[in-house]
Amino acid sequence: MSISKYRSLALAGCAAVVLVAAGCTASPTPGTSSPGESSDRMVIDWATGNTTLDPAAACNQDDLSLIHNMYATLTKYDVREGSDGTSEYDPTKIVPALAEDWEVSEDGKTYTFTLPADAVFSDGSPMDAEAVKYSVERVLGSGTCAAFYLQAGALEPPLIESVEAPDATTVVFELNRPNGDFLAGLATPAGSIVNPAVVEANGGSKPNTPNQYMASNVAGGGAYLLDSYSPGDKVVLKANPDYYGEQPATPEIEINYVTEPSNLLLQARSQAADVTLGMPLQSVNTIESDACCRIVTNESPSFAQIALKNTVAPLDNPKVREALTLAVPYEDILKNVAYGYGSLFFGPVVPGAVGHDADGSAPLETDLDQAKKLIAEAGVDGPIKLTAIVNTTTPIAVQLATLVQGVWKEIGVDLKVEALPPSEFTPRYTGGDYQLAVNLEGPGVPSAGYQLTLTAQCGNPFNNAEVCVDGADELLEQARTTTDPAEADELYAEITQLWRAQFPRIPVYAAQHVTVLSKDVTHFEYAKFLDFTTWTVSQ
Amino acid sequence: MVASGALLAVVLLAALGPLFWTVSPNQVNLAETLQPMSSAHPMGTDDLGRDVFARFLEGARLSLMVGAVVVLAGATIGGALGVVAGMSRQPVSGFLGWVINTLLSFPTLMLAMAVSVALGAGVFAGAAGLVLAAIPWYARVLRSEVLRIMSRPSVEAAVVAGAGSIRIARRNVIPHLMPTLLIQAASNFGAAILTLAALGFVGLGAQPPQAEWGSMITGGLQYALSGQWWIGVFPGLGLIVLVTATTVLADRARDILDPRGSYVRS
Amino acid sequence: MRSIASRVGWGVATLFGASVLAFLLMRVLPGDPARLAAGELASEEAVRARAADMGLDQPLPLQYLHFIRDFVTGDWGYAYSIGTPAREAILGRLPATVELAILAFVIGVSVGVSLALLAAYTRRRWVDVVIRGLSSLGMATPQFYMALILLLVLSQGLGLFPGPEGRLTPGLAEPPHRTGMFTVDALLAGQWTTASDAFAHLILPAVVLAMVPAAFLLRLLRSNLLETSREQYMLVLRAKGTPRARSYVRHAFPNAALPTITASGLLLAELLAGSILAEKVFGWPGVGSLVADSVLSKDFAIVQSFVFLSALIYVVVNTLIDVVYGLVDPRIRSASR
Repeated sequence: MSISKYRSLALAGCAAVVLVAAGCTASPTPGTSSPGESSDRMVIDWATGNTTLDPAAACNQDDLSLIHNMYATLTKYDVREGSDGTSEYDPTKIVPALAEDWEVSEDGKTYTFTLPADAVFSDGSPMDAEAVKYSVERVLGSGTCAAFYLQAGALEPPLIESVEAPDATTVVFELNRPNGDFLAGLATPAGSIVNPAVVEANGGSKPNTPNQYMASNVAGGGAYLLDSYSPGDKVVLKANPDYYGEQPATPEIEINYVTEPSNLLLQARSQAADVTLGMPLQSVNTIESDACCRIVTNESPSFAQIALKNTVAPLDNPKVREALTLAVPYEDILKNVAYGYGSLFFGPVVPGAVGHDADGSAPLETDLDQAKKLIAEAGVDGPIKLTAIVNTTTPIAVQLATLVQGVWKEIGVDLKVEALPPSEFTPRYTGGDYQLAVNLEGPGVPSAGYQLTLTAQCGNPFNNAEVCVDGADELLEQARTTTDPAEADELYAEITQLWRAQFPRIPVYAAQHVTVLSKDVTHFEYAKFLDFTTWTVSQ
Repeated sequence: MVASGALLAVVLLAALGPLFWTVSPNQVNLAETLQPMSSAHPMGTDDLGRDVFARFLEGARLSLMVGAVVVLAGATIGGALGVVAGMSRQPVSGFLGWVINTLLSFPTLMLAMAVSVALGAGVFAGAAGLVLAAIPWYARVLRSEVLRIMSRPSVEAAVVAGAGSIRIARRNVIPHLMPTLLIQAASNFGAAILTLAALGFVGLGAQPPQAEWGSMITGGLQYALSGQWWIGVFPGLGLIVLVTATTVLADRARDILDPRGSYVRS
Repeated sequence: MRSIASRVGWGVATLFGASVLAFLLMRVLPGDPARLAAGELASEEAVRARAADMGLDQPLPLQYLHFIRDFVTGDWGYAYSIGTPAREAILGRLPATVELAILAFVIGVSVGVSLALLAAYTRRRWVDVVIRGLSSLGMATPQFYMALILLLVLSQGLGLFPGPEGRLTPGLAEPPHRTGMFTVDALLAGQWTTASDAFAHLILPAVVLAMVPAAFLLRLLRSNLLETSREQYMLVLRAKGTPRARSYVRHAFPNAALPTITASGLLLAELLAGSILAEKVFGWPGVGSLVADSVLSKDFAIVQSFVFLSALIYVVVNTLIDVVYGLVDPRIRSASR
């Protein structure tokens, strides 16, 4: 055959392949349901991959949200109506979950929980008081952030002295001091009840040692079972037929981890995903008016901040801190970086956390002139040179840092931005090895007591910015140990005022939790630890 | 000729551009974010209101500089390694050959990424990674070239006459290496620029707010799908033009200097 | 036969060097992997226990020996950034990358070879110029850029191909697991819709991945073909009356192909590395994207295992090629190294 025949053959072959492929893609057109997709299944796109399934090791918000759906806890947050037909969690109210009821002793140091007699794990073994005791002791001995969350941040000394199971349906906790957030700590996924038999058969529970089996498997009795798990890629959950509570509204949930922002946008637009979590705000902004989707925003206890290391010159001078705080273009940032999905505040406690004093945390007005004056008054020698560390995988923080860098030049502050990969940022941040740090943060337990302990208690090793406000610690101690919420709120309000006078850190804005829902989603509920059980999508 | 013209144009733009286009590449302007192309902003503005054209020029400068540094360092170190490996006897020659082969067995991007992370992100670390990845290519090509030259009668004669290695290197070997070196450098240049962009895409290499074509493309990806395509498309075009120009010139160089072309490009 | 042994010996020595480098790259990094693995709010004892568990308190040479021993026995370390053993993580994602690489290889080779043949054979100069331009373009375009353009035009714009949804349309069930490659598994199970769906999702990333190997092959083969076509025996063939086309396909091509095949080892390296970029853009759950994320989170179990694995594959393939080349080409067989 001559070469021209070869050539035409080849061309025909290529064309055929392309046609076949294109034709095949025509059948499952994106956006409409193909055979196999019904309201019994919901697809969730999640921007942040998960790192572990072990409640005794999970630290970050997304891991905790996933774990919450596969395990049972003693207590949980109540639910209230949200905006636009959705519902959301109520951080101020703790209600029974697995525990049917509880009693608190007079001195607030003994909690007695009553469990149902017939709750079981997914393998049929009883989810009883022994299991609770085992799970709690496992977390306490883990030495990870779970121990922190479970005890609502009260670690010096550890809050829980002992946990006993006098009979199959009774659990008794002995605390070494009263703590108003104890029940909230139990509601975090750190309070998940794990199946002792399964854990013991797979590595056991050894202090300070991670359990590799539990990191990629589930041994629980929650609303959903783990049907399949491909870390960083896909998770499929199926309703647990033996669940002690109400069956979930959508029996099957498929979670896809989509880390590329452009993919998130594409899939939301084409309605390939019913719910999209963690979409970057600029993409949300473009999709806002699109007919495909609706945006749901909820107040969440998370905020963007510029942390200042209070013990490093010239940041140890309150006037310098005040100047820097006044020189941040809050309104501009809220509009252009957060696209309006947030609110401004100035205080130690984020809106959305119990104990946040809204009236007392009014935001500050940007005032560059005053800032320049304060710098002059502060008597600092020469131009101020500072370095801020940022996590490269948090684009908002990078944008913020860049923005602030430009504005601070006008008041004579030369800010260098050091963008670090997460493996470098995290150790430096938690170790306090920085002058300034720009990041998104939020308390693990949405309460003022927890947040203040972590970020403002003098001498607390987790207070990496070394913030220390005179007089605040005693008030904090009182607020945490009282069981009267009104008294606690008053004390937190006082602490807020003391804190504001010192300008220890710059909360740039409170970030709302933004969820993108396809128009077929019929019910959505927001909670700090997302609860899929009431989410539904129509055919 | 188109290629040399294009390359020259890019170099001139990068070098002289700031003289004419005085807008700062890092000037943030929140009032003018995501503006399309206009006379004030020939390539529009990005998500922080920065002028894309100014950042394009800055990125061009960065790519050219890093490319040049990588080629110079790679050629010098890799070339020296290759010459020594080719001229020495066993076991040194074998050992060096082993080192070269080991480095070659790593995917280039992986090596650059790993070194980048080790040295802590940033352009300098990225360049170091690129240099390390480029060295074995020069070394291998030059080593085989040196071996070829060493087997020439003129060189063998010099060895027999008792000339020292350094003298032989200087007189007989190195002068003949230039063509090979140039060809390798030309293709290395383009590859280095692309790898730097790849590092930027992954989040290593140049860090914000540094304007670098690769990270500009990443940043522009999201906006491209919402209609603001100019942020990512122009840097990409810049990369294509620059690298194509250097590749074509490399080909031309090879056609002229080594028409028999007996080895594999890097 | 001695040369085969020496080639294999070289291969093993290189492998050893690669393992040392893979090990060192991650271990000598600044930062504390134990702290990273233990988590943010971990207590000091937990961090110390982790360090001991990871063997970080031992001298480096000992750690290296453990690394080798463990690797060989199947323990590639624990990937703390995703909570699974590294071997499971890598092998679990390997089929996705292999599927992609195979299709990319096929596309790359067929496009590269056919265009090279065309460019060398044609008498029309403009065809050659265009093809050379295409090859330069192919090597100069960053893969992630090409991916973006293809997505914008073919997927979003014309709707011909699915978007970056991964390997299957969300909601479609995976085929029963045999090889891990969805197209193959679906065909084996007789699920035609699933197979075509998987194939449709495979095309764009494979084209992106094939771009550089195709361009590379194109240049190489074309220059080898041109060189070969000027050889004396080609002239003789034509003088004998052999049609031009046949002289190219039957005689020039096999001779030109040999050096090209040698270069395939490099092709493999390009595919492996390129998969990192292509996978990230398309959200393809393969080894490449896993490694890209792991480098950033300093999850050295995954990084060093992957680096070592790719070096292993590279060395094995190249040694095999060397040996085969040596056996096939009589000119090489007799020459010593």
